[in-house]
Amino acid sequence: MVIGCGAPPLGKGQDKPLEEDEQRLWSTVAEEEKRLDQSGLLYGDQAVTGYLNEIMRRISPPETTSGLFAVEVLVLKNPLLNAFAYPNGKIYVHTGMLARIENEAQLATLLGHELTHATHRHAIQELRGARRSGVALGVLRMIAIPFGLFGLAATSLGTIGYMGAVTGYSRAKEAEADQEGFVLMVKAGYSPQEAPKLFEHLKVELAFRKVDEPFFFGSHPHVQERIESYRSLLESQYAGQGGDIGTERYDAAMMPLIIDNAETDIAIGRLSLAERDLQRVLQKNDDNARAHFLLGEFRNRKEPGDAERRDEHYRQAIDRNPRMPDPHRALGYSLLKQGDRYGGQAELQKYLELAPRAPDRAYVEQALKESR
Amino acid sequence: MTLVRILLALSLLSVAGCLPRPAKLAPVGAHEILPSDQIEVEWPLEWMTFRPTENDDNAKKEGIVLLLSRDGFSLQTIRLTKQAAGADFKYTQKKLSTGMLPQEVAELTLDNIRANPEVIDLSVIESAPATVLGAPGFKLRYTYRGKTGLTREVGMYGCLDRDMLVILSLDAPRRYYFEKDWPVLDKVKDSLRWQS
Repeated sequence: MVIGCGAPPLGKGQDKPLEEDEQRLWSTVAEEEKRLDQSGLLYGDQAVTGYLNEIMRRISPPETTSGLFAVEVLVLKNPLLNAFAYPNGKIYVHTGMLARIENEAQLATLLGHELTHATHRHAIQELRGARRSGVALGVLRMIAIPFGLFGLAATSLGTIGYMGAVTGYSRAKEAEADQEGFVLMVKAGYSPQEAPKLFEHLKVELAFRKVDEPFFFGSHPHVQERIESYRSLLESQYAGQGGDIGTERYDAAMMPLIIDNAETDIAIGRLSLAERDLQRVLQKNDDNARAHFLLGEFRNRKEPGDAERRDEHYRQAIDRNPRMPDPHRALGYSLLKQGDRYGGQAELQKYLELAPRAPDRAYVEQALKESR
Repeated sequence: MTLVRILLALSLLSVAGCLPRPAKLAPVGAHEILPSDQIEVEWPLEWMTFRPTENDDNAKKEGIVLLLSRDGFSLQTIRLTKQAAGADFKYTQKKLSTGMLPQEVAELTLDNIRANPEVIDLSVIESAPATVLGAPGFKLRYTYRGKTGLTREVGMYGCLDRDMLVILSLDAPRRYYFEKDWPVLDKVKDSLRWQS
């Protein structure tokens, strides 16, 4: 265990009062958290945050539930792959990251990693050891550039959280967080075989998004190194050991979030990412009307000429939930474009019936009028 | 007072990163027809205008032709932008194509707004047809929460005409300022015309 600068782990239930510099850090963190919590960027689905906190409780050692800590997991509406921990135990995970994770065991790996950054006081150690609080923000801004506006918006939220998330801690501290987080998830009964898969997915994802690996991981050990380090732990200590994976539970809890994230990706224009996530949702639950509708929207944007496949998704959305207005409007416009006047009119009228105060009512009325 | 307003506007623009180089800021009270990039627009009395220089890359990327304000750009900003149909949007990776219907252009414009991570709690109030620059266009109204937590409202007119996306918008705090200045936006919109 690597603990430097005379800062033993927190959360043992007998925490000594914080030293002055750490008190200052915590008070900065409190301000950042307040700003984040009021920013409107929090993903507000209580079922999702409740589930995440349940997993966090499962992996947290009993001693971290008392003392100075107040461990809590919150979600930020942001499609980038990211997560970060504040020194007081508050952990923020991006929707984009949660959409990539496949099961509860991988989620436990991530949460264990972030929790370790907090319990092992990595933030104050970095600030004390490297005196880089001023440098961090500069590095942060530079690193945020490849992530576009979402990256830049993120940097404006606070320095401390993103110091951990984007610029990263030293290799030794990241390795410690990997190792200790791994122990936490295994102790909680999860399959250790899933831990390296989290990073394998991230590696694939970075290639898929064409993001340069070093930018995302900053000074973190490179993804491949981390995968190898997990693999070596698996071979030396947990060879053949299984455990809980929790795919079904994860899917049940996260599907609404994955769909929301896909909708953001469609707006941004990251259509392939959105398609993949929506297909994933429908593979698990073909009855999800919203996923069908969004897949139709994806088709409409990707291949506007392919009316057959697009309309099929709109029809399936209507079949799954006839009271959802949007698929009726989308199908109505599509049918009108194809010359099916009566079919198009019927769908648009249904839309207005279901959404009498629709903001685009004037367009729909105009389309109806022109098609008569 | 006028000088104060101009200085305030300059400082606001500098903070927002819009003014890294000399640009033209016309004093309050000016009232003239602005020939600009093939578009003519008549702006109201007692509004100051800001025109970025041609080598302002930031403004160029967003296609900003003209900014107007009466009380300061954080209190109300009327913005006129003009971009080639194939140009990149600032936030979304999607592209316009000629021949798109006005509501499709409006939807894409909204996607670009939705993709802006600083626009929080976006709520569309109205998306309707409109005539802009004499061409079929769109009208959008939406509210959002800015970084300060204040609810703001945006009214927007736009059209895809002559292979150009032209957008005129008013962004103001929802309380008081938006309703007060909405008629001004309508007047400015009615004054828009192509030069030839």
